[in-house]
Amino acid sequence: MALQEREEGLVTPGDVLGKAAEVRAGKGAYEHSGLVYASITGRSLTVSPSAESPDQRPTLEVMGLKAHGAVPEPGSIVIARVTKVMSRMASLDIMCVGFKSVSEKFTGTIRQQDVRATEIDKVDMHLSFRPGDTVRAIVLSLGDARAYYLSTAKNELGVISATSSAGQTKNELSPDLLYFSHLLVKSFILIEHHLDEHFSFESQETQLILFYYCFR
Amino acid sequence: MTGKGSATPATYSPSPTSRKGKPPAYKDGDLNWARPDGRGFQQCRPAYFRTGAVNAASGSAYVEIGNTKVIVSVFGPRESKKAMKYSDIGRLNCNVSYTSFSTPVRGQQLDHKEYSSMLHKALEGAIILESFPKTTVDVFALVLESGGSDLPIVISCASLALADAGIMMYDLVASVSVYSLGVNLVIDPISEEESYQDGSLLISYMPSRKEVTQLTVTGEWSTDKINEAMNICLDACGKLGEIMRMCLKEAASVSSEVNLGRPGGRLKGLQGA
Amino acid sequence: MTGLSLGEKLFIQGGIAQDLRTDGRKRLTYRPIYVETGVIPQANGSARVQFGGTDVIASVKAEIGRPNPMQPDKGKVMINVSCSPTAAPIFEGRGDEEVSAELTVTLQRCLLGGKSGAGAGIDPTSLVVVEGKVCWDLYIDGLVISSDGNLLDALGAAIKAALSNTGIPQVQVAADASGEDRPEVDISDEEFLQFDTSGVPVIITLTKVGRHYIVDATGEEESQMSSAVSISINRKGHICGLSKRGGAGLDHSVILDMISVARHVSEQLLNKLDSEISAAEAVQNEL
Repeated sequence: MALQEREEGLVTPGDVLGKAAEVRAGKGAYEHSGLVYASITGRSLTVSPSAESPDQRPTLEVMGLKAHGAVPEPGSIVIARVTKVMSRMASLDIMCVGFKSVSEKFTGTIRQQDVRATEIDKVDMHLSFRPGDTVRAIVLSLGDARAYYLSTAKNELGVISATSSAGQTKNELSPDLLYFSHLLVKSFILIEHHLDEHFSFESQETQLILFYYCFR
Repeated sequence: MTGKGSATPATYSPSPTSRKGKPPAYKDGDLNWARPDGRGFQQCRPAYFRTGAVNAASGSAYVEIGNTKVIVSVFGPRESKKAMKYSDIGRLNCNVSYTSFSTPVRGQQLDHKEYSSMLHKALEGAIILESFPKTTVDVFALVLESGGSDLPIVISCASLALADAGIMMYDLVASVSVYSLGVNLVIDPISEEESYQDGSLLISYMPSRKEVTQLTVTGEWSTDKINEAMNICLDACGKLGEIMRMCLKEAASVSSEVNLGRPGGRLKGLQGA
Repeated sequence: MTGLSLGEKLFIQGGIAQDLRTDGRKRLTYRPIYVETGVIPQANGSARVQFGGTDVIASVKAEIGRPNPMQPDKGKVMINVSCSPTAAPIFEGRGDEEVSAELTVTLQRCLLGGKSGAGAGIDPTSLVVVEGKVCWDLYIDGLVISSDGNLLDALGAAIKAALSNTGIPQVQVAADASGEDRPEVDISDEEFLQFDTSGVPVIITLTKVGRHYIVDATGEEESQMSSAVSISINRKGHICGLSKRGGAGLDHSVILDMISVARHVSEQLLNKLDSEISAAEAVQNEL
């Protein structure tokens, strides 16, 4: 990779990082009337462009020392726990956005048509989800005033851990618990990142994911 | 235990020399009056800024300028209240309150209802609301002690708290007010000067972008005087902004030492592997 | 105002850039101004002002009160604005609170001057009957009946018209009672004192759309604004108050430029308003 990083000094919001003609604004920076400014407090880094990129300006990024809590955005992958299942939709509490755990409460909804990609009209919500299930989903849209719209209609998405009615953690695959082995690889990566992001070991999700990892 | 030292009375009796002495009243046309705290007309009070004053908040700041002490906490971004209408971009919710002991006479604090909306107006232009869609950032300001120029200090403190919370901002917001007293312009006025003012001017300014986010004027001003007052304020805002930046950098360098070069130190190692 | 299509938005913005607004006005032209005075008989003074589709009423009521012990030589002036749900359904219930509070604060700032009373549109010392004991309390109430932008300027104009329409009853203080704490006062039913309203400023809101700014924006134009500066200016060309709305930051040279434009516009608006007010008074006297 041609990516090179060069660390520079501490910057604060509003500090001028360079001219827009010479550098591009990356994460934590923005461009305004020909100048690139920092938008958060942190260390600025210069990332040189990859050789094949048409824009040969280096990108200036600011690595925040303290970023605000993660916020779901359309397209982000989230881990959520099912709180309520209705005949046409399920309500979930979002717990992780990408690799970061959220610090505030965010509610998501999976509608019947967003559970799987095929035979969407035959989905039985009560067979697909139960309260307490942990689900990996993608944020479809910001949704309405109440909740984010989530979808599990992709191979790598779906219930990643669940509890049976007897209280045992499920080992078998339900029809919607797809591509289990594929998930494990993902989980492994997930754990790595979670640990890196100070992810709490007490968290039930981490334990469950670890559980799956250990029983592979 | 009791009566050990004759110097210390057993019961408290308020000192007869209570602070009744009125400040040297400013009189019309008097050019050589002195400010009650002995400052020059265009001299600000010393400022002390600190971030991270409240642990539970996403970000917080404490500011002490003269006798005015303000604490601001920032929460979120978090889910907007159910009653709110849907919005693509983020929302800012501001609230300014006074403690009951913030003024010399308990519960005497004036009506400061409009401060919340003025704080909102001063800050909203400086925050990249697109960076937290649909969610709300709450800014709660508490004036611990009111010693004059409360609102500008609240605004500056809130912008520092937002930066501490890692909220994406176009620039910091520094705010300063100027009073017109007769022929003089006094910067960063204290409470005693408030009752004499003929007019006031408050500017909130993004020092690096060189943009005014909020400006309010009361009283009668000629164009030249407004011009002069604005220049004095902008100059002071620039200096205040520098102090705020220094405070943020100081806090950042301390926290990065604690974290041994975090964040991303290990991540980068992973990517390289 | 929502529900503008992209085309409509561009049309408004483009028109302003070319100095030809959607209703045919230039950037610094007002809509037709209509003034009617004495619309509320119960009040000491009242006026109704229309700026195109914006329709507001201001009423002035005077009551005998006690001056604030901190300022014994001054009467009190209270300003309050409310928005009627007839203007827009969003004002129903508590929906008008935010808009009303903002208008109230801005009007107070623009008309009442500094803490010491300097620069006030209405001289508060003229409201004192017996210093420290009896004064007039002036209650100025604004009501928004129909809203099509530029509410603040219309309310400012209506208050100015209502004040010039206001008659304060002549008060006789019993000669021997002036030493008492609450002197007896005799309020005349026939003799009224007129206010000197020459010092009452007008409010001019310059709304910035794109790179230009306009006066007397309609509701549609206001929806496209990036920021707006309201400046109150009196006859002498002095600024009596200023406040900024809208989030976007402004360069301070732009603000100074706006102030000079507003001063220029204020002269025309003051003349126009004064002639409208005297015409309205004449009509009222005929009836």
